[in-house]
Amino acid sequence: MSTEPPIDAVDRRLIQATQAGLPLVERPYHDLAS
Amino acid sequence: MDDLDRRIINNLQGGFPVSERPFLEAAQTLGIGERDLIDRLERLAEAGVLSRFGPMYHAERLGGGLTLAALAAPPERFDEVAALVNAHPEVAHNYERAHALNMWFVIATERPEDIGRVLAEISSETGLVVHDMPKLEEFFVGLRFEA
Repeated sequence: MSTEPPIDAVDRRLIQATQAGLPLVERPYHDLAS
Repeated sequence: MDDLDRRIINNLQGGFPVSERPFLEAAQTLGIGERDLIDRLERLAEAGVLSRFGPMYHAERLGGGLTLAALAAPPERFDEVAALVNAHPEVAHNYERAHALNMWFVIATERPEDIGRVLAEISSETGLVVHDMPKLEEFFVGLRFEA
């Protein structure tokens, strides 16, 4: 069994970007993606 | 907080929609408007009722390190020691306890090998012994507050 976490570089960036929480806006995921 | 704030807190502690307009979906479930929901969350965050609104990650499943640590802070230095511990970005939570080990905190790191470094830094900076209490087995993880 692989010991590597099932995440890639984009996943890591997303995790970093949401450490403080989701933006409280109508389209929070769009906000994060851009 | 009013009753609506409590309903919002109780309803949004899990299963937040992953969609184009998640606050709209959540607001419809609550029977309120999207803007009202967002405004209330902002107000709760500003008031300190909400410390954070967002996903929680499992540090170890992400390949990182996680441990519980404790130390015995002299009462006259408690606030100073707490500030030194809290200055580390790896410290997720820090609580005072009624015990000889009166300060307990959780450390989460990007790499498991960084746990030891952070513990050593805290010990050096505070001049205190830091007890590492790593998890041996996970039985259950779930945190929910009824507002």
